[in-house]
Amino acid sequence: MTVDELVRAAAGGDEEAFAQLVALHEKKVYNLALRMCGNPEDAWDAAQEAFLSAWRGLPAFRGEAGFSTWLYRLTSNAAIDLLRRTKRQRGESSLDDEALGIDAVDRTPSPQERAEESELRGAVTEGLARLTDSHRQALVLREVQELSYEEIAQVLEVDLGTVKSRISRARSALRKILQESGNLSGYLPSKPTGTAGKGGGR
Amino acid sequence: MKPCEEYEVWISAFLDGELSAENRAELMEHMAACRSCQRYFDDLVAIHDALDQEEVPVPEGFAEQVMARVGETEQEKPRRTILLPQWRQWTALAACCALVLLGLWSFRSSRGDRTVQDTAAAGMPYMAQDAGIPAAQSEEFGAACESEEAPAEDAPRLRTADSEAPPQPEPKETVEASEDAPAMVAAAAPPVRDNAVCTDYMEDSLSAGTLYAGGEAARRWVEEELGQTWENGRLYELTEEEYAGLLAALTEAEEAFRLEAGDGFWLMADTFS
Repeated sequence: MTVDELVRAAAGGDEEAFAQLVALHEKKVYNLALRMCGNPEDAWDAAQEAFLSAWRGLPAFRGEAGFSTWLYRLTSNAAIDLLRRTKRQRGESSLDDEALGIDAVDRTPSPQERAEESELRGAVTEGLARLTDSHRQALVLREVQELSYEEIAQVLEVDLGTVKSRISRARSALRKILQESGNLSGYLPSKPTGTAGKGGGR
Repeated sequence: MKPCEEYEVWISAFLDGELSAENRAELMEHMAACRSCQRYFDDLVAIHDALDQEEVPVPEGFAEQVMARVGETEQEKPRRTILLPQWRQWTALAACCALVLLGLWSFRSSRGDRTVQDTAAAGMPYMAQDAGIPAAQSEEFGAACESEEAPAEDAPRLRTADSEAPPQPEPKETVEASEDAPAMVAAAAPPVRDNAVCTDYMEDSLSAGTLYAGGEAARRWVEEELGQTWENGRLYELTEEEYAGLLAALTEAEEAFRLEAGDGFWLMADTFS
C-alpha cells in the first residue's frame, strides 16, 4: 500500500494501516521531537502525543499539505506544548531562561557520549534550547529535517518571507549564544547583529 | 549599499539554497570586500556542520506504546461541510465587496476625503484595523476579492456552512470604534484578510517607516519573532517581511499603534496607549 492508501485506511479506523504509518515515520518524528525538546524523555512524550493527535485527527485530515508535513506540524506543536507545560511546572517565566539552558547541560549524556560529541555540537544543542519556540522550530525543520522553505511554510502555516526571517534570526541568535560561551572561539565576535543598541529614537 | 544585517539574511538563505541567482552574485561581491560578513558566513557553516548529526534510533517499545494508546483512543468524527451552491457564493462575495466599498466611501466622507495613509504620514495614532487597510488599497479589494477562491463562506452574516477543522477565528461582526465608517471596513476585513491574494497584495503595497507600538501583542511578537527582549524606548530594525508580519499581528490583535512613514522598516518600543 502507498502512504496515501495507508492514510485513507487509517482515517477509516484501520489500526493496522496506522501502525505501518508509525513505522514509516517514527524515526523522523522522534528526531524532530528530540531536537525540539533537547532530551529523550520529553522527546518520547511529544512524539507519542504527535502520533495520537494524528490518529484522532486523521478522519478530518484532507491531505493538502501531505501526511508527513501535517505530522511534523503536530510534532513540533506537541513539543512546544510539552515544553510550556514543563516550564509552568517549574515556575519559569520564559523558555529562554538560563534555567532551561542549565537544565539542558545537566541532561547532557555520559562521559563516553560526551567524548564522542565535539564541543561545538554540545554547545549547539544547548544553544538550540535557549532559542525562542518559533526560532527553534524553524531552524530544526531546516537543519535537521532538511525541509525546503516552501515545506517549512506549509508545516508552520506561515508565508515564505516569515520562514526566511525566522531561520536567519534563529541562526543569528544561536551564533550570539555560541560566541558568548566561547564556542566560536576561532572567530572574533563581530558587531552585534540585529538592532541592539540603536535605541533611543531616530 | 545595504547594511550588513540584510546580507546576513541573504547568507542564511544562500546556505539553504534559497537565494536567487541575482542576489547570490551581489552577495558574493559584497562578501569579497566585507570581513565581517565573511566571518558571519564561516560561523553559520560551522553551526550547520555541528547541527548535522546523525539521526538517533527510536527507543525500543515506542511504536508499541503508540499502538496500545491508539487502541484506547477514539478518532474524531469529521464535521460535515455543506458547500454553498455557486450562485450563493457569488452573492456572498458581492455582498462582501459592497461592504468594503461602502465602508471606504463612508470613511472618506467622514474624514473629508483624507486617506488613512495621509493620517499615517502625519504620525497620528490610530487603531490597528484602520492601518491594516489603507484606504488607497481598500479601493482595490473588490478586484482582489474576485480572483480565485472567493472566501464567500467566510463573509460575516452570510455564513451558512460549517468550515472544516482546523477552526478559524470567527470574523468580528462589529468592532468597537468611535467612527462608524472604519468599523464597517474592519467588519468586512476579516474574510479578506484570510484570502492569500489580498494578503499578498497588501504586503506588496507596504509603506516603509516606523511602527510605534507597546501593547501585549507587540511585546509577544518581539520576543517570539525577533528572539529579543522588549525594552521600552528601543528601536528594532526589521526586515520588510517582519514589518509586514508585525503589522498583521497588531491588526489581528486589534492593538493600537502609530505609523510614521519613512525609510526602512523599524519598530519603536513605545508605551503610548
